[in-house]
Amino acid sequence: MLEIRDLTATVADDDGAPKTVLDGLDLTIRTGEVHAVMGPNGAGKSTLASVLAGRDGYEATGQVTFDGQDLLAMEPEERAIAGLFLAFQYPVALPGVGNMHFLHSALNAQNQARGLTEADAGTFLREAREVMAELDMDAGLLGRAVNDGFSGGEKKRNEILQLALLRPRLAILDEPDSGLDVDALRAIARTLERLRDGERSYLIITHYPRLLELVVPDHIHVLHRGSIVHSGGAEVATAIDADGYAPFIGAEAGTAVR
Amino acid sequence: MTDTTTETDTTAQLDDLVGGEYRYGFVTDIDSEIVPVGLDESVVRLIASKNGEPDWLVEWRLGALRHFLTLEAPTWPYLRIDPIDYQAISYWAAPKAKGPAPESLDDIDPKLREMFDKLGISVAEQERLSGVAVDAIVDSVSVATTFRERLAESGVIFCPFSEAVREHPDLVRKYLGSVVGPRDNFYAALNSAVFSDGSFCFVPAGVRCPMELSTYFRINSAGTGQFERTLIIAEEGASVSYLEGCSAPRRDENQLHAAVVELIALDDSSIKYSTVQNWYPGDENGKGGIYNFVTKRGRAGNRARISWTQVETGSAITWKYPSVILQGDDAVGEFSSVALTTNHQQADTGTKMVHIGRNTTSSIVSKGISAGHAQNTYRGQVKVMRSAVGARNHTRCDSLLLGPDCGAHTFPYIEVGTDGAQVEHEASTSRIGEDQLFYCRQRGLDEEDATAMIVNGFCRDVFDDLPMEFAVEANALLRVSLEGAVG
Amino acid sequence: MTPPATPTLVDRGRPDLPTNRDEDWRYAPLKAIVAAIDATTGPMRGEAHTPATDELAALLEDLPAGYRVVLVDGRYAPELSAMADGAANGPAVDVVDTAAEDDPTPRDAFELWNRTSNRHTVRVRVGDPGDGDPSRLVHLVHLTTASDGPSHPRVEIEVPADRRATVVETFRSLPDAAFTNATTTLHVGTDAGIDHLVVLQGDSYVVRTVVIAEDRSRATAGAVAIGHASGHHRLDVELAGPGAEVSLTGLTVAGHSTHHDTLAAVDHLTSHGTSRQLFASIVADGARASFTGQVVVAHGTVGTDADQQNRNLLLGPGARADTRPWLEIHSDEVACTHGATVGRLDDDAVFYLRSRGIADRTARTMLMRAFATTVVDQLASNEAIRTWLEAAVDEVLDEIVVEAASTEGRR
Repeated sequence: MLEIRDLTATVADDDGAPKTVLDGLDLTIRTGEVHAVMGPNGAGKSTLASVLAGRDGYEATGQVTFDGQDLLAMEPEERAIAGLFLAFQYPVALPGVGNMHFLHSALNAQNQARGLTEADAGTFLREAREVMAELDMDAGLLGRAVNDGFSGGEKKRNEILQLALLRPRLAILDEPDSGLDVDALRAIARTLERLRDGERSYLIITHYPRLLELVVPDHIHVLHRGSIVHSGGAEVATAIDADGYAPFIGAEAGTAVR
Repeated sequence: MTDTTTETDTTAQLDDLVGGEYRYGFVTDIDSEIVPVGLDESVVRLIASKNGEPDWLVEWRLGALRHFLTLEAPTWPYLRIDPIDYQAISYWAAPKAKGPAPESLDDIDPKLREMFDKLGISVAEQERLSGVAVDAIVDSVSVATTFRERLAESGVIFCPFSEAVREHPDLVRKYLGSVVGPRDNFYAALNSAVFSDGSFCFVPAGVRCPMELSTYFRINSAGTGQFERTLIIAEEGASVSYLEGCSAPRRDENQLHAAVVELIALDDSSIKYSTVQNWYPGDENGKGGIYNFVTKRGRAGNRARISWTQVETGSAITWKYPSVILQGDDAVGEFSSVALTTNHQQADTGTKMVHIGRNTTSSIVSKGISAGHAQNTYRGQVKVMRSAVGARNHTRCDSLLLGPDCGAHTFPYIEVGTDGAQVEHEASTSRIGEDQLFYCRQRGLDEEDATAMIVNGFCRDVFDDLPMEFAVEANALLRVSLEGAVG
Repeated sequence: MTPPATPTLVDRGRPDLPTNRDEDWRYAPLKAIVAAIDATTGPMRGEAHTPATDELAALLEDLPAGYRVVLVDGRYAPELSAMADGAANGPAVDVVDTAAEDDPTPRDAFELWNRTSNRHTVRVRVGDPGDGDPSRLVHLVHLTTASDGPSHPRVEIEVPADRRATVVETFRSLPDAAFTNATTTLHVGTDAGIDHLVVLQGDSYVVRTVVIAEDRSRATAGAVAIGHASGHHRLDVELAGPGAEVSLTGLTVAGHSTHHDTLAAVDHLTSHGTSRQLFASIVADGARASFTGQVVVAHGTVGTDADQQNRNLLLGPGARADTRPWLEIHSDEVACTHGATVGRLDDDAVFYLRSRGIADRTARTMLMRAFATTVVDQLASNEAIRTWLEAAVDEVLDEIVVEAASTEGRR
């Protein structure tokens, strides 16, 4: 589904000089797989998410193919319509824009672009309420403005709610667990697992192994200085939890997953 | 949820409206009687005679004219206006009446009916569905007035101004000019001299007007200005909600619109005046468009409330400050506005709240959106007189800039003459956050949709203040006006 | 605005001055200012006047320690100045004929009058280690003694690139003195910094402080208006070079039926500029404070961050405050905010103090002081200045309280 070859991304620093943040990154995600990316701060994890989603401010070179399409040549909304979703690390607030209205509009925009019929408002509302119940989200948040005045936990749940309703092919989750308590974590994991249907893939960016115990990944990669230095299975998370990143960072050459 | 329904309806309406062209840009071919250009006593007398006005009103007009001819147009607004030759305008035009006055919609000129239909505000549909009385003004003379009987049952008078002068001269004489005198300012003086018609509404004591009242305007003939005079009186304990929505055809030379609206809210009454303004704004190069120079003011008595709510997206140049004089004790004034300027539009608008009585309250919410090469200025005055002990004001002005070449300006004047008042003013100016746009785009909305959604959210507080059907129209209007303004 | 082409002297010997119909002067106490000007007799060009030495010495007491540059009626008075600091001499001071350099378009008639009446500018260079200890306060004291015409001081202060300095400019006058029409221009060089404070304690005034901030410079401009006579102070700040940061703070305490008007104009001419403003006033019954803020962000700039706050405390039913915090913005890459409040002492706070046994009048004075202190803290860049300012502000606050008490007593 997603093939990344030699992805390099630079960002302009304070003086305008380009700073390399991703450096020849290779990664392949097959349909239905769950991958996790871990790494110390500054490794480039959030940059990876931003570059894949198409955020401005990065010069990206290399090859990224998503379901056969050249991802780097696509606008952010085109990538979304192609089935890519990003759960933001810091979801922004949209004052005055109703949560329900936003979700419904987004779904309709995507359906329309794919030649599908518009979602019926009533059905959509029902489904939204169901997912909110599953996520232990206060139903009243549907009527509020998007993320406006939401607590950290509510914002993260709102991201997962959107994921559930928009049904992407590939969901990139940028630290979906940061700032969450145990119950919130369990609720999010529950929904993610429910949506793990063999057709959908996840790329989970995280520091902490806890989520990965509940949503067990097929592959875990360690990102350091902009490229993947080690790849393995679920045992990688346990090792990092025990000994930190040092053992992995020392070994620049790792087992790249093909 | 009301929220959902309104907005999903809007989505459907949007597809209808997307097109970019000014939808109402057409001219109706109707016989019109136009007065030759020029402004002097004979023109004023001619206008007065067309309306069959009594001597006291003619004299009133002439007094205003004489004063007007001594004045010069004000230069303090933040506006660049090509000088207007007031002698080169024709001050009156009316469609020729065919036979006696119409008693029902079937009786009016079929071409006019066609025009109403094109406007999408078919009077017949209005009549059937929402029970809203419509007083449609075409080129300075009202041709259709409905629901007289139903309103008359409650004792509410809602008719063209010219008719009010004939049928209720005492009321007109008592209140005309009591809030905006003929010497008040340049454009008010002009209007007082040459106003042709407008709306008159009187709600007797204790009566809640049973339906929302609305008026639609059109400017039709080339070279005619539009000078409406509106007078709304709510007696003690009365209440009324009035909707004003406008449109105009495409023209090359600028057309002047200098209306005067006076609201009189006696003790314990309330008047809500809502406007959705969509006058032709000029083309993308700034050519043509309506000049909207309006004086709107209300006076509130003890425990009375006056609310001005407006969504302004049209006009080449706008100059208006709907104001409230909080004369009585415990009076309340509210101003809630969305002003959008794109291309080369200019707006210098705002409000004035004058606190005179004790324990008066005023609240101001102004949302300005500027794009293209437009200039959008908020100019508001909060004046608290020494007598206004216990006065409370809160003002919130937010400006949104869409693009690097437009301007957004905030010019408040806060003048407080007593320690027994509390006044708070907050303002912010920014553009749409990159993060916000990206968030929406990542969810599949393109840049234009994302911008429209965020701008709509920005205006939420004001839209929530509008009567229901106006809110829908306002949403749609905003969306259409934003097209092409982004990027 | 278009100033007169030549200084035409009308029958009273002064140029045509602005009126309240001129937008910048809408709230200015022009009536009182013109009365102060017209009350003088004799020629209108600030003739030299020699007051007694002890009169002047009295005006120079109680100033915080530092280098002292004294101007009497606009003329540099080295005999009253204190420039030596141990072995080394302090900031470089020159008196220069600047008539030829004058910008041909003065902002208004007062500035034009200032230039035509006084050809000489007192130039002071601060912060340079070659001119004494740059960390020592430089105190510019303007003494107005002339009662037979206005005094027109002209000062230029230069902070060279990479240097820092602290400058206080205090305006004081003898009891009979008439009117001060002053212009001070501060040039803050690239990467330089200045803490500048204007203290207005003298007679009727029109004072203009111009700050030109070059690339990445840091400037704080303070203004304290606590004099017994009405006047207008204009702060003109230009962010002339990118990355400049300016912070303006003002405190007005208007008692004794005075009217102090402040205009703070901040021009974001370049990108990545930051400006912060806090202007506060305490207004006694019968007095008036007005504030006009003009923040302009130029077209084509990016990264401007501007905030302006104005707080007004009214102390009696006849107190008056006017405020116009204006924003004129021609660029979309900005974050600009402003806020203004006008009100009186919080009744809940007063009650709280009284419920703890504190008398009403004392409670109100305490709260007034607290309001002033938060601003003084921001104005004072060192302890000596803070102590001095607090004492000066307290003195005026005390006078207000006493006056209010005696008025109450008479009711």
